[in-house]
Amino acid sequence: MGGQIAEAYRAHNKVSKQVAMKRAVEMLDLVGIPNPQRRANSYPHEFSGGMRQRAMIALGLVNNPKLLIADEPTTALDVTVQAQILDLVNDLQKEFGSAVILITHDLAVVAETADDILVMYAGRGVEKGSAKEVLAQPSHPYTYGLLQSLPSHSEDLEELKAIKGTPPSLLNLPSGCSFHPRCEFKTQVEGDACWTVLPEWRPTPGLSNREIRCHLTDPVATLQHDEGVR
Amino acid sequence: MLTYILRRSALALSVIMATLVSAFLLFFAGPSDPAQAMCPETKCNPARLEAITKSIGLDKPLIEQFLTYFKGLFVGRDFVYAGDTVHCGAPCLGFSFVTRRSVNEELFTRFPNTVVLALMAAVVFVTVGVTFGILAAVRRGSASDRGLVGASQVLGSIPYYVLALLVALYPVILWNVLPQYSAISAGVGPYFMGMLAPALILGLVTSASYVRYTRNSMIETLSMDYIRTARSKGISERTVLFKHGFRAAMSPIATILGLDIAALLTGTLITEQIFGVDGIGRRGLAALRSFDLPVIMGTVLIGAVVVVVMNLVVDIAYSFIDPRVRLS
Amino acid sequence: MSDKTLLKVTDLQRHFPFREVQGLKMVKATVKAVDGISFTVKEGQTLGLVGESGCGKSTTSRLVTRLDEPTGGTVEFEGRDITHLKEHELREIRRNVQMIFQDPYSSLNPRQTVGAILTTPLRVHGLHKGKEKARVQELLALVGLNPEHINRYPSEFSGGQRQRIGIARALAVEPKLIIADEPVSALDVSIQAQVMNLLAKLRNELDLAFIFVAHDLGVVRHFCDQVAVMYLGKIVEYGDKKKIYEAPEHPYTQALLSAAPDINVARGIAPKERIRLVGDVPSPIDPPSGCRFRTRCWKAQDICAQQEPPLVSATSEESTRTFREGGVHLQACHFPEVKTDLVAEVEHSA
Repeated sequence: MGGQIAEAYRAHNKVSKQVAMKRAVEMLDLVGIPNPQRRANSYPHEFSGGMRQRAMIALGLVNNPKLLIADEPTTALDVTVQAQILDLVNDLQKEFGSAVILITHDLAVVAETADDILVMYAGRGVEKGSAKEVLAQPSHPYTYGLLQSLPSHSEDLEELKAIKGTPPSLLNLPSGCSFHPRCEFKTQVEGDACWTVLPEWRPTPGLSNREIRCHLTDPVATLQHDEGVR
Repeated sequence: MLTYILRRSALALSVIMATLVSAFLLFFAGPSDPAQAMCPETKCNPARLEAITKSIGLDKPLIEQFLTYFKGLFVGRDFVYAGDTVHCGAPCLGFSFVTRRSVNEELFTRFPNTVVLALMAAVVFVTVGVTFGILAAVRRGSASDRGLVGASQVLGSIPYYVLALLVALYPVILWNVLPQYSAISAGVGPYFMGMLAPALILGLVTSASYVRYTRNSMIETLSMDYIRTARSKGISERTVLFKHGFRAAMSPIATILGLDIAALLTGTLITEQIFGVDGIGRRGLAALRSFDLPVIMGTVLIGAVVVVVMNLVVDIAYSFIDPRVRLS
Repeated sequence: MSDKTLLKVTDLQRHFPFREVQGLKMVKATVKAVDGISFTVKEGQTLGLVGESGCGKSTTSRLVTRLDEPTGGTVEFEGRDITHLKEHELREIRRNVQMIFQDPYSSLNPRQTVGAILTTPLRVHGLHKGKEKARVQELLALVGLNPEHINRYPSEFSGGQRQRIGIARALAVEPKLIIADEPVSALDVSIQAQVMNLLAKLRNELDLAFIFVAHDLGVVRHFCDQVAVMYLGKIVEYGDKKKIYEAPEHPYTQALLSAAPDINVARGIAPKERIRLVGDVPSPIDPPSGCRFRTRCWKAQDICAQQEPPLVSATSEESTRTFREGGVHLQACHFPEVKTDLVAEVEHSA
């Protein structure tokens, strides 16, 4: 494991193998791997799932990157280990000052870790803004639908409000807005814009620091009204 | 590691023993009648047949024959032939019914020829197959990839004996570009030159499948997440391909290679026959034709030992290639 | 929900023995996947099994469906001991207990049409003789698929639709109990709610009992009446879901709830207390002595290594016997303590 981290360090720093290995041990220590000197000589299969992800983070941070991209970093991990890893990423981000792009399907993870959010659907962004604000008050029908469909461990819900239909094939995207076949608000847009025109990014009316790709004239009011009805 | 090898060797020995017993039963208790085959057709009569049967010891009870054979393997045995007693030391594989020479001599003088042919062919197919396989994998989907895969399929779909016969006929016999096989007694240089033609054709044809094995294994390896990780480190593509990709891609190849070499070592029958290489494959074939049971048993035993040893070698090699494999 | 007990599991155990070579010796070792668990499921009741990898929840589901044979304890279905029934004696159980699997891609035979997949169980059990096709179409409609797609192959359906086929297959024989092993975790987030709603609808219409195995605490809270929290082959806490989620007593349950990220944080409602465990789940091959959770527990003391805490009520003298009758809150910790501030408190306007 140490060798793999050292290799990344040596790719960008002209140092000897020994120096790189020392740096790797430091990194393993930093990400909370006990006994790093010894573990640096272990192979990945000798690590537990959580320890492997820690080592992976050490590898990602060894060259002090300005940007760290974490692609579903905790999806394969157990809940209690996931919490450890997310805490670790948060702590290290503060220490290193790296920016982080967290790619995940888990909105709850976003709620607890991210500053900003970009919600994507069928290859395009549909809503962006501050993570907490977007999740507290979504203004795109897809974001809204996702949030409505989520069961929570902190409250009892009568029925989950599912988004109908299935995600489209990327080989054969729907015309206009890719989400329109599954959108229940398309009838509230005048004309056939949802079917024919791909919406451009625009600020959400009535909200600051928020952009969406949606044809609804007043999405906030529309979605609020819908939530009231339920 | 040592205990592992010891345990595996014990296991190997029992496999060889089982092969020995079943082969013995199959040939000696089977319907074949070597005496009949040895009896000259025109002058054969029951008395003569009986004499031959007695002279090669087939008149004894099966269990006694087996014990004699078994004893020969471990402590050696004596043969009485034309009034003389000849001692055959352990491991004694018996005496050929036909040539009346010791099977050890028959086979051990020929085995090196098979080994040389097999190893030379292996060098050819490993070099050619792995090189082009990696090339095809790295340039996946390109014209050179399609060309290589196509060529390997064409090569693989022509019956081997046709190709071997063509090579033996044109470059060797008609054009004299490549020398014919000659025994090592006629000189080391001509001996190896003579091996060139059979080794090349055997190696090239086998390399067709190695191109495909290597290509598939390499493509699978290159699609692994850890290759993506290696690339993300910013190291050169060369390092990614060879340090991270090649070694992992070679593990499955090592297994096939071990078994293929074992198969070749037990006799490259068609090649030896076509190019006149005096190896154990050719000798075994001759023995089969004349029901020369001791020689057949000898080739079977050598085959069993080779396969078992190669399997062990592959497993040990694996532990060096892949640290996840622990020999225990 | 009636009071009739459908499934009764007592001290259920599944050990997987295996041999390991150490030097020249063969050493016997055992994976204690499920190690003495008890619970009951009544008609129409839904029991959730939650826990992390290696806790034995999936093994448990295979044991109660008798896809695997227990190495100890008993499984009773409607009063009949089915623990060691032979393959041919299991037919009736197969009819009454069905399973829904996690992976809708690999658990359906790609070489059979949907019609064939759904007709087979009918044939096997001799149901709807002569009217199989009508029944299959009825089943497809029941799970929200087009009955005309009877001749299509699984590959022609999306993941969510395939899971509906899996559900239809389970329902074909009109079972009383369904074991759903992570039925939505392989599905796209936007599809999960559809399948959850379908399962809820079917449960109400057909009065089904469920054992619902999942690692997603939100999904379990939404779907289950009772919850059993498992850790390394043991049930560490059991009770009505309200108790488990809002007043858990076992430290592991508390840590699990605290570790699960919560969407409500975005709405400014954060839990008041956070518990973070250290380390990973130990291997079930050689689980810790005494209480299995002690190696990661902040409360652990000497007694935890020496004595295995029984699954009992923390507040009264109710014993495991009463637990087997159902309806109580039990936990297995030497130092139980109620914590109520682990999940966000959501006020409901409606």
